[in-house]
Amino acid sequence: MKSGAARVAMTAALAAKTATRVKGLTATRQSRLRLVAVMVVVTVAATCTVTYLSARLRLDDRRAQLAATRDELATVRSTLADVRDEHTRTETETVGAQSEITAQVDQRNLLDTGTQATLHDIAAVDQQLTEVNTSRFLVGAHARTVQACLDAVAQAIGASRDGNQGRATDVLRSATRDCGEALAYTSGADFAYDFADPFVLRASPGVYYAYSTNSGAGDIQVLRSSDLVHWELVGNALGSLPAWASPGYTWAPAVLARDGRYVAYYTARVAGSGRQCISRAVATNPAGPFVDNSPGPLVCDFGGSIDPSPFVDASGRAFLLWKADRFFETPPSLWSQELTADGLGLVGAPGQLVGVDRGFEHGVVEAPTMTRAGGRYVLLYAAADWAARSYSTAYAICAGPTGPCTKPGDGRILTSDARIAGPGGAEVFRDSRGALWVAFHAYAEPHVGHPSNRYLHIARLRISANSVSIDTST
Amino acid sequence: MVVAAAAVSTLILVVSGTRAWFSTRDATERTEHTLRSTRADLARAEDDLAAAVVDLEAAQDALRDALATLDVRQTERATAQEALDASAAVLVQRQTELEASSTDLVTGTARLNALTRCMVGVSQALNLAAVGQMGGSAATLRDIQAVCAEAGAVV
Repeated sequence: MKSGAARVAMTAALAAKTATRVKGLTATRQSRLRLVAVMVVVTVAATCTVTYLSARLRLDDRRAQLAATRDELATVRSTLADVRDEHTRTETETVGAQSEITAQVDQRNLLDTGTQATLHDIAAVDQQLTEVNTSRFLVGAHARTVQACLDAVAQAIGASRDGNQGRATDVLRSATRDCGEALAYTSGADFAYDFADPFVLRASPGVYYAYSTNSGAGDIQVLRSSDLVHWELVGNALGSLPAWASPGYTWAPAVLARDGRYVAYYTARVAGSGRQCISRAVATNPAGPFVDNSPGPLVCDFGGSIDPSPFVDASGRAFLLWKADRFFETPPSLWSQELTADGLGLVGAPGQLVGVDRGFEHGVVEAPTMTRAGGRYVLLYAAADWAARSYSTAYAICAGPTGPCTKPGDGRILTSDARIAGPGGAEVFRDSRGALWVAFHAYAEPHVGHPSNRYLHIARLRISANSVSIDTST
Repeated sequence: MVVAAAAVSTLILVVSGTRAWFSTRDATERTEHTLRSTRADLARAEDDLAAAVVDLEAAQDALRDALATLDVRQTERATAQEALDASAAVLVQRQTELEASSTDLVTGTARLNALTRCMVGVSQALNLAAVGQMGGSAATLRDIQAVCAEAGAVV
């Protein structure tokens, strides 16, 4: 650009210098000069024009470049804006997607939690369903058993009304199993029939006999078992009552194994006086028949004597415990006296074990039974009215087989509960392994009191240095 | 004269041309300045665009990843929903079974209780009969007739 302007200036100066010189020349030379001047002018004009056009072209070129650059810039900026918009949209979509992911995860977690809770509920319902179905099965089975027994009883009653006693007996015999199970279910007892004041004898390893107060099977009912759970009715163990006794009131039998024989002690009513006194009968088989050839009662206090129970101490000496009503004006008391070697008589003098001195006894103590455990003589006895729910079983600790005995403040170890009522008449025995058990009777709610049945129950007796208890869950 | 005119013309041409040339040169310089500035803007814009494109691609990658993850999560949620629906259906079925069984148990228990009361009465009556108390036995049987009938038993 600068070189073009210099050329124009130099050309103009040359033209002025030439014009000055022209004045002094001749016409020819003037013509030549004019020609030269014109040429110079033309040259200058051409040079100027070229220079200008060149500059102009350069300017146009720059402007075109600028326009193109601006267009390009605008395009780039537009693209940039588009890209940024797209970026913003993308980020927005990404944020939205991540938010949706979070929502989906939250929902899934909620669903999983719901599923876990539902599965837990299903497990709980399944558990309930299993229990309910088990109960349904048991209820159905019990109902079928009871129904079968009742059907048989109804048939037997019908046959009996028709005078067909043989048919009635056959029907009842065929239903013995159903009725036994049904009655066991209804009473909750170990034996389903009336079996009061029970006594259990371990006759040999694994063979047990249970004896009770008179009822449907006879004067001394006797059962047999090999496991203390399932009991089989043997029948009546007492062949006949002695001549001095009247029938219908033979109570609380207990059996002592002595010299290869079995001596049964039981309560019988003395004909004439009406007193309840203790007699004894002998058998060579624990199932009987026991024979009573006694000329009179073995024990008969002034007001009567009942609930005999033999006890053999570590030396082998046998003692007989009983309840005495010595005077009508005084409460009953419990006594003990040594037996002769054959068990058929008494030696020495009786010793009083306990009397009535506790509120829960309500004026009555009876049904004594004794065991020795942990170096102590433990006496169990029944207290209160035998036909009431308040009837219970308590204990005392004795110095020896004939006493004296000391009661704790409240020695009750077996009382009525939701299932059993008036538990008493207990007798202690040991099983084949030497474990202590107790047999007792109780009413089944809601049938309490005479003439309702008193059912046989077998439970573990636990004696420690500090406590005596009966575990009815066994 | 001619020379003078030529000189004057030349002078005029030179002056005019110079002025035009300077004017053009200034315009050119301004234009070039603007062009350089614009090109610089363009370069920055292109840099910005390149960076924005990189960012956009990264954002698009992130979006694709997010969409893929979302797809997985939606599938998982759908699966969880199906599991819940299935377990809820099982629960409803079990509850229905439990309700039916419980109703059946209540009915069966009521009948068993009635049968039991009937049975206890029969037992009492038989025991009374066994010890010769026929009157008490008959009375007991009469007392339980209603209970036995309720249980569907006839004695």
